[in-house]
This record gives sequence, C-alpha cells and structure tokens, in this order.
Amino acid sequence: MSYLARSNLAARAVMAPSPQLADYDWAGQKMLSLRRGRGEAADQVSITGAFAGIAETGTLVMASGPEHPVTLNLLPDTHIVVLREDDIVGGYEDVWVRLRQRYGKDRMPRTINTLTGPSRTGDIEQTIELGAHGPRRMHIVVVRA
Amino acid sequence: MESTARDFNRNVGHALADPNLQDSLSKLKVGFSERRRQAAERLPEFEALRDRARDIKNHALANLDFYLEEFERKVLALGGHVHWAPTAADARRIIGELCQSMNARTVAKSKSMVAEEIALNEHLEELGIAPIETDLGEYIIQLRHEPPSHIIAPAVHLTKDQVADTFLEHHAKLGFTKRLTERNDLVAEARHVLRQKFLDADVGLTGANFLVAETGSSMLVTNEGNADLSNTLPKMHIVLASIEKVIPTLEDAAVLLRVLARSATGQESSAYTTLNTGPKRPEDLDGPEHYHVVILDNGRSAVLGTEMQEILRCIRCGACMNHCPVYGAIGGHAYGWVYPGPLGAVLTPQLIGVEEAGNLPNASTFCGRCESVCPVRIPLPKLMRHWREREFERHLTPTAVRQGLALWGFVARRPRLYRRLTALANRILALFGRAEGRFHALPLAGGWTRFRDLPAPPPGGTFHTQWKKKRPS
Repeated sequence: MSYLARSNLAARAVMAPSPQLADYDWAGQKMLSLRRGRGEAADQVSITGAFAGIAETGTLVMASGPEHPVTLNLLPDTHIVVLREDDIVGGYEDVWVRLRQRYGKDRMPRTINTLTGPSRTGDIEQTIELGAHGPRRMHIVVVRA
Repeated sequence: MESTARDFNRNVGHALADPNLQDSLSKLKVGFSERRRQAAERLPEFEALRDRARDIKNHALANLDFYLEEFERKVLALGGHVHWAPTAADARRIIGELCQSMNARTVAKSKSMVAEEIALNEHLEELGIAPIETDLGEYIIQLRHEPPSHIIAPAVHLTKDQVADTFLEHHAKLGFTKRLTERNDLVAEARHVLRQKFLDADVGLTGANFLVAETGSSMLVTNEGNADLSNTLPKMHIVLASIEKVIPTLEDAAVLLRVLARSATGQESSAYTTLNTGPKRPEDLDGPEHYHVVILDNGRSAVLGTEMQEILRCIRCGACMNHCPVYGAIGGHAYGWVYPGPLGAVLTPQLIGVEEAGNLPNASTFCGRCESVCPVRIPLPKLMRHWREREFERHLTPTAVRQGLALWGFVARRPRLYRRLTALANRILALFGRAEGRFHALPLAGGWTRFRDLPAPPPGGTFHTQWKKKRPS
C-alpha cells in the first residue's frame, strides 16, 4: 500500500482469486480498493501469488488456472507478486518435479509463464529498454510460510 | 518470402555502400558477441551444457517420428488440434482456413521465422486478414515493408533515427505527431499502439522454440511478453513450428534454455519463457478457446539420415551470425532469404535449392567462429563445404571460377612449376609496389582493391623461399 502511494499510483489493484492470497489481512489496508478476477485493459496494478521461484535465474513460475488468470501477469503496468519462501527452488528441474506432482504429466495447466524481471526489448540499436509489452515494474514480496 | 539469394553479389554491393547499415553493424560486433562471451564465462559448466544440448537434439532427431506422435497424442488429449503441413503452401492454407473459421479480421503475430519462411503475411493479406507483427523489431520492419535482417533482432540493421522517422510516418494518423528522439519514448509509443491491437485481435499466432513431447506443450521464449499477450487474449491460438523443434522432456528444455539465452543475447534467462498446453480449461478465467499446432516439414525430413542432418539441431539463437565476419560486413538482407549468416548459408540451399542459393555457402572465410560459438555444436563450415562440393559437382559454379580453380589445380600439382611461378609473381609485385608498399588497384583483384589496399609483398621472397632458409636443418 505504501509502495503504491509512494509511486503515485492509484490505491486500486486487481488480485488473483486465490485462497492463499485471501489469507492475508487486506481489510487492514483501508485505502486499498481490491477487485478479484482476471486482468482487464484498464488495470494498473495486479497482485498475484506464484507457483514457484527459481533461484538460479531469479525467475517466477506462474501456473494458470481459476486461481491465477494469465492476464494478471501481462496487462497491468505494475505486477506485485507474493512468493512463499518455501516455494523457492534451485532450478527449472525442481519446478518440473513440482508441476508433475501437482498436476500430473498429462494435465499441465493451460499456461506456465516463467517471468524473469519486467518486460524488455533490445530491438532498437541493441539497447535494453523496459516495458515493451508486459509490466514495466515487477515487485516480489517473499513471505515466510 | 521471395528469394534474392541468386543476386547475392549485387546485394553485397548495396550493403557495403549503405552507411546506416554499416553504422548498425559496427554496434553488433561489440554488442551480442561480447555479452555472449561474458555470459559463457560466468557459467563454468557452459561447455558441458553445450555437449548435453547437442546430445539431446541428436537423440530427438534420431527418434523424431516417435516424439512427434507423442506430442500430437498429448495435444489431442487436452482438446487441442495438430495439423501436419508437408509444404509451405499446406501450412499457409491450413492457417488461412483456421483464421477464416473465426471470421478473423486481424491476427496478432509473435515473431516467427517459420512464418517468414512460408510467407504467411502475404497469404493472410490476400485473404483480407491483417497480420499484425507485435515483436517491436518485427513491427518496425513490417511498417517499413522490409524483411527481417537477423533471426532474433529483425530490425538490427536500422538506426534509432530511422525508427523515429518510420513511427512518425505511420503513427501520425493515430495522433502521434511528434518525432521522438529517445529510445524509451519510441518503445512506449509502440506499446500503446500495439496494446489496442492485441485486445482487438481475433487470432494469436506464435512460433515455438521447442515442442515438448512429454507434456504436449509448445515452449516460447521472448523478452517483450508479446507472445504471451498473443497466446492469451485472442479466442484462438495457433502455434506454427517446424518438425525439428520437438524434444522429449521438460528436463531437456531446461538444458536447452540455459544455452539458448546465453548464446543469443548473453542473458542468463530471457524475460518470458512460456509453456502452452492446449486451450483454456472450462474453469479458467482467460485464455483462448481454440488451440491449434501446425507442424511444418518443408523439406526438412529429406535431410534426416544425410550428412546435413546436423543443421536440424539448430535452436535459432543467432550466435553464428553475431560472430560471422561476413554477416558483420554485409548484414542479413544480402543473404536474400529468411535465414542469414552461417545458418542461412547451410539451410537456405537445403530449403530452396543450391541452384538458387549456391552463392551463400561460398560467402564464408571458413574462420570457424560460428562453429566455436554454436550452442549445439553444429559444424557449420563443414556443412558449407558440403554445399560447395554439391555446387561444383552439378556444374553450377561460374565458368571463370571453374577455369581459375582448374588452372590453380594444374599448377599446384606441379611443385617446381608452382614455386617458379609464385617466385616470379612475388618479384613483380614487390617491384611495382616498392614505392608505396601497397596497391590501390590491381588487374584481376578489383573486388579486393575497391574497398582496401593490397599490401605489397614484404622483402625476402615467397613463403616457400623463407621457409627453406629459416627451417632448422
């Protein structure tokens, strides 16, 4: 909340409808107006959980489903991710093992997005600029389980 | 895409005389290649990973039918569809019909070299469907009606100022009437224009870096996130991939990802790596209702089991062109078709014929840098040499070159004659070049002296003479 105020952003966000996120005390943040659902074109800030974090490359792994619409990873300018410390693993291989455990080899989620930092492009003169299509800003809040 | 590979020599002339292109190419030499070197050095097991990447692709190619069928089975089981396209024309027809089945007016496209290969945009336009390139580099060149000049940086041949002029020309009608001079402003303007197009598109079309047989997933790597918007917002997602993209497992993908990003841009990981598996599930809140994978052969299966098979290991990182002195001098357009650089010099003759593209494998100094950086260890110089042999066998080599080689072969097989002739030539060159130490022009060497001087031979005679004198007896 104080981040949104400091960055001069509206105290309005769209949040993934996941039970894990619902457990946190959002009502205590009286100024923050939250909508739960998929991302829409006008959304400025999204708040989601993450299936896992990969230490090797600082990568977030997002598994699509009713509790985590893919549009929340892509449409808003600012993406705030709540990552449980227990879900941080070493490499991609650890994530694959967890995915098979959770979903089974034959029932992968529609989309696994792995995100390593904000959207970027080097297409003009090979110089990196942030915010090509996806979020310009990404914040990861690591919480103790 | 129509090939101009036959006009390679003329293309090269234009490229060398283009100051904007030369300016952009000078940045390439210090950009991608230096970042790749640093990324490789930071990962001690990088060389071992290259071996594993090579072995994974070799295994997949040796069992290609098995893994492709496994992939198809998994896609079907999740409600997706797989279409087999033996030729480019088949792939165009299938994709056109899929778009028409959605009454599509626009298609949001994420950069795909296979789509360039089958000339998809032209076909869609003929059907009255507007393809919209959403990768920033592809978007820029689409506005300029140019083909890509690099497989991962399609607009690498352009300067910022050229991009600024292009945007002003095309975005003015959308209300953007100020000519921008900063890169971040150009990116922001393109983002704004393209965002609406994503929201409006009826179909999203992406390529694939890998098809994972184990799970029936297509895997795609981008930095911008444009592929993800393409595969999530429209009602239909079409994946277009060629047969050699299939790999067995997710673990294999992890190995290949580690060498891909580092070899391509020097990043440890690209910003977005996405696995798509089937259409939206009934309980999902977003995603496409229809999911189709179009798998293209277009001449690749004919390479299986031949000495050229190794080129099918390619994971399209672009390192070979980033490190190629020839690509660095002439850029990608001169190669005249979709795939430039050493990759193109090997693949293009295979896909469109050595008669059309025989010039390309000759455009190499055989310095071997491409092979030394290839993440899947493709022996590119060896494969180029193979094409030169095929070209010679089929009498496609120009007469002057054949006669020159025949003459050289005649002399080289007669060592005493060879030494006498070279010593004579050496003395004549030394005599005429004595005053300045170099030649601005020489008969029969105009191709060289037009762009630089030829140094006169140093004193002391030919290499043979000096070797004889200095060799310890």
